[in-house]
Amino acid sequence: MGKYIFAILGFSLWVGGLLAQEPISPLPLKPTYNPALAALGQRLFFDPILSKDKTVSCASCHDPAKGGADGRERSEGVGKVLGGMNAPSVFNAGFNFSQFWNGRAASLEEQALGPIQNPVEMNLALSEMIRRLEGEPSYQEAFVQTFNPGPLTPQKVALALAEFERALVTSNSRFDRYLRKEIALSEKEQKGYRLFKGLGCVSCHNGRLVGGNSYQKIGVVNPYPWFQGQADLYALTQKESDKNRFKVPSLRMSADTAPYFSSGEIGTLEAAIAAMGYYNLGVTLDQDQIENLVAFIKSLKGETPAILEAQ
Amino acid sequence: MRLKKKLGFALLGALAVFGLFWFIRFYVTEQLQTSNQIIERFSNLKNQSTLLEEEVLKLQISTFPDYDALNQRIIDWQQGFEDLTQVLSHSPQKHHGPPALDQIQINFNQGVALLRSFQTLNSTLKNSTIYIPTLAQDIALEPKNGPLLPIILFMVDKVALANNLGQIEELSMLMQAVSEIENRVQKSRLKNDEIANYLNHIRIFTAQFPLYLELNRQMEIQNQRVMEQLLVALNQFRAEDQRALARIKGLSAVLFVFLLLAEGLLILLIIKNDQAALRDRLTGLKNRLAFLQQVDLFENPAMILIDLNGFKNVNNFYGIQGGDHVLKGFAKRLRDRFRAEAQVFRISGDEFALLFEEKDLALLEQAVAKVNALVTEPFYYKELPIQINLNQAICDQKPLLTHCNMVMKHLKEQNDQHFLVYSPELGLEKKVAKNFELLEKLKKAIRQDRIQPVFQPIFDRKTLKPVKFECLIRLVEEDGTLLSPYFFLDIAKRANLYRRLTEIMIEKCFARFEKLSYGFSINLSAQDITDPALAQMILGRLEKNPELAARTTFEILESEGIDNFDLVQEFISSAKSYGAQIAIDDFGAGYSNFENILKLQVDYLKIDGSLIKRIDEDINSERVTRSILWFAHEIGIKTVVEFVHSKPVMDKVIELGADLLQGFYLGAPELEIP
Repeated sequence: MGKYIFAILGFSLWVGGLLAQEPISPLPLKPTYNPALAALGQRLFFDPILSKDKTVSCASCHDPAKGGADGRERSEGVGKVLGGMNAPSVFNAGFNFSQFWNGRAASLEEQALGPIQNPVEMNLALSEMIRRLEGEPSYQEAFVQTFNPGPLTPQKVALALAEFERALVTSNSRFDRYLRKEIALSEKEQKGYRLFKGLGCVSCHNGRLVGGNSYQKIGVVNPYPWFQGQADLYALTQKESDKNRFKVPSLRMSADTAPYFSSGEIGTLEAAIAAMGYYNLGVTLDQDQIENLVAFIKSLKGETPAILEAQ
Repeated sequence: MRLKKKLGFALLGALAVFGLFWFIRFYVTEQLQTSNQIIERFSNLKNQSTLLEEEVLKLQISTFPDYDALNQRIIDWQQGFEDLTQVLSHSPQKHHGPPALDQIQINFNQGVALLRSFQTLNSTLKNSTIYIPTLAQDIALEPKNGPLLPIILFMVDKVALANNLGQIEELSMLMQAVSEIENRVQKSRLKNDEIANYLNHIRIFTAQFPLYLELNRQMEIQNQRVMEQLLVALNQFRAEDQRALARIKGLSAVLFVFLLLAEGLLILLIIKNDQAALRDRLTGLKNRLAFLQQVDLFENPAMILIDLNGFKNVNNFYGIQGGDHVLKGFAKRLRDRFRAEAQVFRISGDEFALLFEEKDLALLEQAVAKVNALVTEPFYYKELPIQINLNQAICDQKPLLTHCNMVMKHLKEQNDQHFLVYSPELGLEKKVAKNFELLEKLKKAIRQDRIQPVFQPIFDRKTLKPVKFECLIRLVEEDGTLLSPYFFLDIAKRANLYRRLTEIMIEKCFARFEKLSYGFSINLSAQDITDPALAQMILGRLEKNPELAARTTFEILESEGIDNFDLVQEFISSAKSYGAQIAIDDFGAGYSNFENILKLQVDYLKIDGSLIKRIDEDINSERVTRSILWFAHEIGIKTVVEFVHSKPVMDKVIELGADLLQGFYLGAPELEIP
């Protein structure tokens, strides 16, 4: 018997010691970016000129007012065509270790031109995009002033869009202020954070973004249904083990980005938490636990970025 | 010119080599800088690899992972790699770019793929290892689970041991425990979600942990591989770098040797050129320039100037080659004899010099004897013996060469001794000064038109009346006195004024006798006649006035000897064709040559005054004169007798049968013609 007590003691000490080191870090208070370039990117971001029928802009699916997403299960492209995936939030996207659900773009610049050309998104050929932008004197001028004189290229469009996205950082959340020891968390938030760590959620949702820094599988304990054609890592590698393996989404703005999961099939945050508990922890969370976790997740939501305030 | 070209090339070569040196210096500096940068970036990349490994280790042991740092490490490594490839591509030795570099990138990318799998597996395992104690706690808090508690805790312990110490052996025990619990749960019909979930996580752990360990092993191997390849690439680069530097060093050494050689050649060329300027090509002796340089180096030098007497005749007779042979032979004898005592020079064509460092008259006089002994043996040219004589001027007072030249001239003029020591008492300087004075006087007289002819009447022996006049040159001094050509003709020849004097005489005499009806004679030397321009001018005047030409006689000095007999003969026949007459002057004084007289078809013979002077007393003079007169009469040449200074002389020459008479007794030279 003494042996077990010993073991428990040791184990508790081990866990306790490691609890002291926080697996989540605060976002920078002021993002660094080139204001002129970001302003040009901002204009492009909200301009439907970048879609074939001029009905869809980047912001159509990544609306800052909707947590940087669109509130739909799956996004609607030009001609009201439905996309394959739930739109991820554009907020803090620059801190993702890769872009898209399956990380197929290494950087924001690489990502930016993807949706513009995607037939189910904006469906615009890059040559046409350039022709349109060159047709707008104000764009011509803005590009010449921002970059050195020279032809307007897709590369420059991508650079501007990426720079704008880098400005979209939701700093100074309650949780960040707690990490910086500026405030104390509410009781619910505290309990939620403790659960978040104790249940093991934090093993995937960690770092600045509380996610967005590794690929993980949904359905580790209880299997999650796999859909043919979804943008998981399997779509890239065709490896069986990569089925349902996605880039972990950031929880920073999750409070505002319902519906959830890659397919957008989960309507509420509570349901999403419960589902994650079932599929990846094998646990049925009670109402109390879910409430606490929701409180914690809401504390992750930061302030509206300065670049949008100015608008 | 050739030398200048050579020097130009040498300079150009030196410049090129210098340029190369500069380039190599620049290149080496650049090379070293790049090389340092490359090595620095290699070590940075190695550091990044180590940091990455450290980060993985941290993630393995920590309960709650944070992947932000790991992702940053991957980005840092990639950046470090790009920095390295960039600087390597800018390296001057492009060829060495380690081919392993591409392989390193591939291996690193494989490593990153492993890291991504590691993240997934790590999260799964951490999830379970965090959750297992939580679940255990919950199970333990339920009283009805009491019997299961020991085995549940045993499993927590085994998970912790496996997780912390990597003990896979524990895993089979875990699986046994899982079966054990399942059995008990089934038997007791305890339907418990928590226990089921607990077992699920234990199963996940048991299944995934060996994979995790294997993955960690693979990552370690992969990282090791990257590190090793980096090291190989670095060593390869270093070796290449060393080789490149060695090559450059080798090239530098070659260039340096080349530069030294070029410089040496340049110096040699300059020295050789310098020496060539100081050496006589024919004899190999040092030349006049070398003498002048050398003589200044000695405090009390003395010299002997050696002149090959009448060397001109050797050249004329044996040809230039024969002359050169003698010069070379003499130079060799001189050098061999005096090698130890004096320096030997060839000062000019036929002049040699011995230069002694110390003055010692006794020694110098011995040396003169030695030099003379050198030419007792003749030189042989094509088996013909050539005998030469020497004049030697000795001097121990500066300026040596000037003094020796004066002495040499004196020796030649006197022609009665063959060596002489310079001394101020000889008065040679005064003579030189006097010569200069005289030259100035002559030039001034020509300028001021004070060269005038005087006219001495020539009498017919029968009528004793003047029939013609000899025109004689005089310099009218500023005070009006007349200066005989004896004093200035020699200097005029030396100063190249002789032709001018002849021209003046021709002009003035022709002008004077144009208005008279007398015949007249003008003196011409062989030098005048062989001067083509002057001869042309004279013949031109004759052609212009045939009446005057018929009254003109040219008196040619026989005593001078005629070098170019053909030219003289040509002039005489031309002059005669215009009606002019020719007289041979001073006949009987020099090399009287009857054959020449016959050949030249002269009209008059003027018998030299030295024969006439004492003809009334000296039977020999009378005999010679009689035979000349007889000879002239025989071949139909008229005779003129000069120097008739008294009545007895006049009577005698009339008795002997001379045709014309001339002399102070009959009439002195006068400026005017009566």
